[in-house]
Amino acid sequence: MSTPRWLLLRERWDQFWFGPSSLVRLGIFRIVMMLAVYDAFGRFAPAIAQHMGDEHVSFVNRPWNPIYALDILGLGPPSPGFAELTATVVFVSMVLALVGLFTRAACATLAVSFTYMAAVHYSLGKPHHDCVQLTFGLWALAFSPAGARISIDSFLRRMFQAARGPVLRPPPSVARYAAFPIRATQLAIAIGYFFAGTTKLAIGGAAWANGYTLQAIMLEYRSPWSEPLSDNVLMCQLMQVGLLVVQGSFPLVFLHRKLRWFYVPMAVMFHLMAMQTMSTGHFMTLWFPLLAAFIDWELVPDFLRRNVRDARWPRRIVTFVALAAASALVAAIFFEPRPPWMLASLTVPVGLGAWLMLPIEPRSITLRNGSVASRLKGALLSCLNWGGTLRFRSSSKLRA
Amino acid sequence: MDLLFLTAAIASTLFPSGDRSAVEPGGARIELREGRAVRVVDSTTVELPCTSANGTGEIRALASDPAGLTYFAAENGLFVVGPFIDHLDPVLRREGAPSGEPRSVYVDRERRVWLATDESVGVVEPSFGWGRTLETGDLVAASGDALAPPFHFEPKGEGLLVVGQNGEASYQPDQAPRPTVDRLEINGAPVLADAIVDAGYGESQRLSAEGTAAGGATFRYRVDGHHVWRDLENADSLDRLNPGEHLVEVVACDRDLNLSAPFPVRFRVAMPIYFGKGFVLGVGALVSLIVLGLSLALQRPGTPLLRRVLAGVPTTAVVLIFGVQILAGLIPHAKGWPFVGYSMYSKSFRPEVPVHRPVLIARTPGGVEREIPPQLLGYAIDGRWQVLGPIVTGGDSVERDALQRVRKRVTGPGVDVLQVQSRRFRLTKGGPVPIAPLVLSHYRWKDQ
Repeated sequence: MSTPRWLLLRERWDQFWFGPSSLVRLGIFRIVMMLAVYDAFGRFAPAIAQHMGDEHVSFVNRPWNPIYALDILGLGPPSPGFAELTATVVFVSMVLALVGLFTRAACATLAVSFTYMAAVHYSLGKPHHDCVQLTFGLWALAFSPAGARISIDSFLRRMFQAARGPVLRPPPSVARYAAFPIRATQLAIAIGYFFAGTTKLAIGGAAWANGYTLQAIMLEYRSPWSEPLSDNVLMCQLMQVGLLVVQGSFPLVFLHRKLRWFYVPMAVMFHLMAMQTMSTGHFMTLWFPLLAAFIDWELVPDFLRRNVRDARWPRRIVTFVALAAASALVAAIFFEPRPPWMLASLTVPVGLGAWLMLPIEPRSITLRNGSVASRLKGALLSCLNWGGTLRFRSSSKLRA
Repeated sequence: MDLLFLTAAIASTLFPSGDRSAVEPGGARIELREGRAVRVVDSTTVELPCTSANGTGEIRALASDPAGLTYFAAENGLFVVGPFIDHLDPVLRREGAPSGEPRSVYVDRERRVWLATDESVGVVEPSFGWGRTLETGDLVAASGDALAPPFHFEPKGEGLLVVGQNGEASYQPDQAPRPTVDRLEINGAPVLADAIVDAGYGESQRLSAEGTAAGGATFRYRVDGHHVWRDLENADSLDRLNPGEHLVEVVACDRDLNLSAPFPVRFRVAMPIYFGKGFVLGVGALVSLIVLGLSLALQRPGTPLLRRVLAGVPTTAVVLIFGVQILAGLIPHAKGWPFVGYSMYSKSFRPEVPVHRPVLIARTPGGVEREIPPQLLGYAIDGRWQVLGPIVTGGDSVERDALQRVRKRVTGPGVDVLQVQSRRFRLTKGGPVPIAPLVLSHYRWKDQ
């Protein structure tokens, strides 16, 4: 008897959302999402503290105009103390989720507290759409095995396991529900771009892409590149048509994995152009989740091996330069408004992570038979081995 | 009569009234030469073109605005130029403003633009173009007869010496008491000041007012402290009040554009039924149950209940959350965050339409202007109107506070003028053409 069609669809649905997926990818997704949360936190927390504070400033208008969700829940503006408590909870849970300690609880706490913080912030000004995808992603993270890899949780788990018994198992590579937050973020992003494109056509009509519209927006929100670009109506028109095409067709990204090579860079470029021409700010809370969700992070080491280590020189150079330039640009945008100590303190862990990802020959590490020290060493190294460049061998009971 | 008219017309052409030159902030001089406007900087003279396809026609007079703009009375209308702006741009005269072909123009220290035309004399609000036209009885010649058009005038003391076809008359503004709003009716029912009016979503609100003002009161209103006072007779925006509480203020306006104290009324607009708490929660619960039921049912036969629930609940959550997100995309509204639509930047712009960019400007006594991003004042804001709005509507004390803050945090004590400007551009194929800004507020530092 053949399986009914509805059941096949149902199983494909479950597989798509909740099926097994890479835990390494989920771990990196979690970290990138936390960097985006950090960026939003840096804007929201001081603003809320200032708005909720006692200082009266005659020339700043700060009405409390709650978003619908707060209205429905009957929540008014927080007291200064509660605003501070919320900020503390967001910060602590964000740091814990970033390093992966008590990861699931931290992600759950962060989802609730960050959503509340963003809701309060948007109730004090104008609601924006820059944290929508981030918020959905955070909620989904709380329901996933987000701390199973690239986390202190995973390190501690391996250490306890190593201390308890002689057999060191490799860390899990896939798990059910690992794709859930990534899928949720991907879909939220696709819905966002699709409606951003189609709403322009629905409201502004085909005349929206006449070049003058973008010219006007650039003039209204003048930024470093506005003036030279707004001088050329034809250029503006081409950019508008390109924008409509990319935004409106973004959901096609789900049709074929290779389409990501077009849509993801175009979407990031769109945000960077908006930053330089329309004074939107860097919108890191939107394109960091985009990068987090649409890059198959677990495949990066293999990609580097194929395209840098094993490729011919021209390809090797082009790939290396493109990746290095893109990474440097992302890092420069992220660190630009931050204190130098942050850059310094992140250099070691990021450098270590990058080193373990480098397309070098797999290195064999022999762990001596059964000693606790060698088991602990194996636990540590296997946790760090997200790029799969370490191969473990043991003299007896150790399995790699 | 014809002879008199001819004489007056010749006189106004041969001896045009009003200034012939003006000095802009920064030291450039605007002059009228043979009916055209030129700007003289050092020894360089540049003719100022016009954005209007018909041109200005013959320019008859110009007048300096204390805020730095220069207005022109010209054959084809009223025009304006700003410092560092190379094109004259027409000023659209709206409700109440004097009609006809301008002959004289004068800007007083309150920044009111007085205008004499071949038909009437009156005053125009400098940024939005609405105004008042003087009645026949306001301009009476020594003979006791009402002045007859065409008109021109000369500033005289705090007022104007208006010359008509049959003589001249002095007009002294601001002689009457401040106007008052005496009575306000909403949908035919009188309301008291500070009254709270409950209204249904989408209900039409018809406001009518009575008041006392020199020359008869006209009325304007604004919603939620907006800086634009709109005409009460065309109060269509009161039909589109969003759910929630809104402050509507009505003012009476006299013939000199003096405004009364606002008459405030609060509207409490109910949510539409489909956004009511009960409706949303009820429908949400019902849809959740249906999706959950389907999700539990559509599973492989024989699956234990616990596994069905474990698989069904997340599916229900995903369907509901993204269903609502899609709904929000179809009916965009930011208030539904995080279920929002994406209607930003969706308005189309057409060529020749002015585009506005509101900015905060600090100016030195030498006329050097600097744009001050409101964020530099040290307060976390989400949009520039959070700072610009209170400065425009708050009066001298607020403007002074803001300028003090600008001097302390950004510029130092070297600036003496703070303005909120709406910088404007006309969109053209050859690129944007800057035109005179709207100066929405102008404050000059006064030592106390």
